[in-house]
Amino acid sequence: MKDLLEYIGIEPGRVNFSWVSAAEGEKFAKVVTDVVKEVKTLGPAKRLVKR
Amino acid sequence: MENIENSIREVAEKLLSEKKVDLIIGYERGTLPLRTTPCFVDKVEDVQKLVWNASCDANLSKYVVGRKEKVGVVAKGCDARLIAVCAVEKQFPRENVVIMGVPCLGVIDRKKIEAKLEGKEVLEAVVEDEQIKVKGESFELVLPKNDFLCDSCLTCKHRNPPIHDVLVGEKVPEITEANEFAEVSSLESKSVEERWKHFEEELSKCIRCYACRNVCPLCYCKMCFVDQSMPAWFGKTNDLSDTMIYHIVRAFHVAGRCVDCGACSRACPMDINLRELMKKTEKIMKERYGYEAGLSLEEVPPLGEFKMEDPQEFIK
Amino acid sequence: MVFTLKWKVIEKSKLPILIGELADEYEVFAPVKKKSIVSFERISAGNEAYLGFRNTKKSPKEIFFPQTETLFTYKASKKDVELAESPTVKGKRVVLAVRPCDARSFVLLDKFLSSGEHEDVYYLEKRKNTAIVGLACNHPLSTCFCTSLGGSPFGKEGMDLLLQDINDKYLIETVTERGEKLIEKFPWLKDAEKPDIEKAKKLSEDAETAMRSKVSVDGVSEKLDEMFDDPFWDQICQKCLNCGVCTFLCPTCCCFDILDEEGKRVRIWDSCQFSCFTLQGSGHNPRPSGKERMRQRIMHKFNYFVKNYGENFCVGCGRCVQECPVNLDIREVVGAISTRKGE
Repeated sequence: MKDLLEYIGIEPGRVNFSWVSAAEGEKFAKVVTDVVKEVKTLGPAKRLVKR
Repeated sequence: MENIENSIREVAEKLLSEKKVDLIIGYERGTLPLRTTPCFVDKVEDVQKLVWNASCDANLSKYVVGRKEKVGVVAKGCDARLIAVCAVEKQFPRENVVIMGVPCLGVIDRKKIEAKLEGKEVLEAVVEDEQIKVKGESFELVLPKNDFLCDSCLTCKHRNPPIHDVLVGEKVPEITEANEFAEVSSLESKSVEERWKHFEEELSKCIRCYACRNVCPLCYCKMCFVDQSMPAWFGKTNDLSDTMIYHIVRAFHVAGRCVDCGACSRACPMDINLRELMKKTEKIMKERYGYEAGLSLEEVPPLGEFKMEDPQEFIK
Repeated sequence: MVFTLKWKVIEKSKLPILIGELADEYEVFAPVKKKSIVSFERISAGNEAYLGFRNTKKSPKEIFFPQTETLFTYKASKKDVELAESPTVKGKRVVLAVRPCDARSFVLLDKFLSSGEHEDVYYLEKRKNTAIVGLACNHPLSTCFCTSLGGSPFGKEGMDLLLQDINDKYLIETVTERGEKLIEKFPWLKDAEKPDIEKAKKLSEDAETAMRSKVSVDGVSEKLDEMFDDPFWDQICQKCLNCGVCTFLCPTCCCFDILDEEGKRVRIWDSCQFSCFTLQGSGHNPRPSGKERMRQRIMHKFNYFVKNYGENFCVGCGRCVQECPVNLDIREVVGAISTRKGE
């Protein structure tokens, strides 16, 4: 999925995968923070937005 | 070619008269030059309609899915692989289908010929050995067949149907030298922005006629995601973002199952190069899982199961 | 009509100038070539128009009946729903180089979309504001069969002006008053001479003779009356994939679906071949399989429309024949019906 989206031109960094169990609260918080940071750097998604 | 045609008719006659099948699905002559059309034969006397030539481009495995009766299907390498995929996916009882495998040297891409003729219409065509002889209102040309085969055929690694019940014709040598992923690799080497622009441009031609979906034997869902309305996954208008989502999702749905038969690109009335997108899914499957679809009736496709050793480097 | 039939000529090299001048005052649509596909698009410069085509891939119906069209917008609040009309086309438009079959299709669509209790104002408004400049066919394709359906490669139905390619020039024939008014904007155009008109006449005769495809539609509508439950449809529909290519490229197909999307009520092209076409809210579908849908297509074109409007709903452009992915040839289907023995 990640490969295919990157191939079509969705910036890498917008699609992220992580194994997080319900018991791993701290890891979950970290993953979300990291992804949010990464996506914020990429800016608003302009691709695949309806005209 | 003629030998194969006669063999197909003989095999078909035998299967029908011995009541091993109720129906033969093959090709018959089309109404236009360089065309054949799917043919459904249930009477022995009609087997003479069946033909075999380099214009047998339709993917007949499309007509097998969902059938309850016993059928014999004329199948090229790609078609036979798709029958295998659909059989593994339990779309019909495997024992109901007699795969009449035909070793194939490639089908002609009419769009390439149209491009060469620049608007001139072919009124008559004869394909002899390695040549295509075309005649029109004010021209006569001899074209080297190999220059006008479908791109999917030029890099085909399974010209001999891997799974078949009957092999109709002598096996042909497989292509070993061509890089089937050359087009994909070339796109991969471009930047993310360039790729996006490229796909935007290509897919902006799409008129959402769904020929690509309807011609694909793998698209057999009774309710396609396109038509779902509660919830609606995306819009049905030809807004570019909706169109791109349609193609991306369809690519994802056929990932791990697509064999690059090329039917989608051939069917597209707007000449969109859909293979560029679908082929990438094949490359991912080969590189990640060492998997090619349609070569086995026992193997569970990688996207249908999870193994501990599946590559996970992208998961944080 | 109170105008005199006028013929003018324009050298091929000067046509882009005329188109350029037109584009200053009108919204101009013309065939444009992009890689292998020629389709109608809005142009702003004369040299963007491409006239070296046999017929365009898509029919020009989308100029009057866009694939996606906003009907109105809405804003819902707790108490109320505010509706706002969608802007209609106000400016004057010209469509260039429409083949006679496609121009004729506008006449059929006019009949269809102006009938009944509610006229299709979206379509008709655009039609009112648009002049049609046709391009006669010197070389019909082998898949063209307009003459079988009341048309002609040099037909003028639905046009305001007709261009005819007479080698190094185009002959311009005035067909309607609107066409006359349009041509008066170009006083620099030379009058046609007798040899020009004779040449055009000869080319038109040759084109009619060259029409290879003849489809007999006589008695087809009557035969179809008796055929609704006939096993004929089981045979015919076997290879049909029920995609939408034939209906989308067809100049007279105009079925549409209506959706609400984010504050807009839009209509989009629909196809009798799609599985949701007559899917009802209850879940029942009176056309559940490809067989009923293929029957619908043929009946609509060659029976229902004939009964309602006196004509076949097909102009013989041949696009469906060319583009069907499995070479399901409508000429063969109609031919098979017409040669059936009557009951």
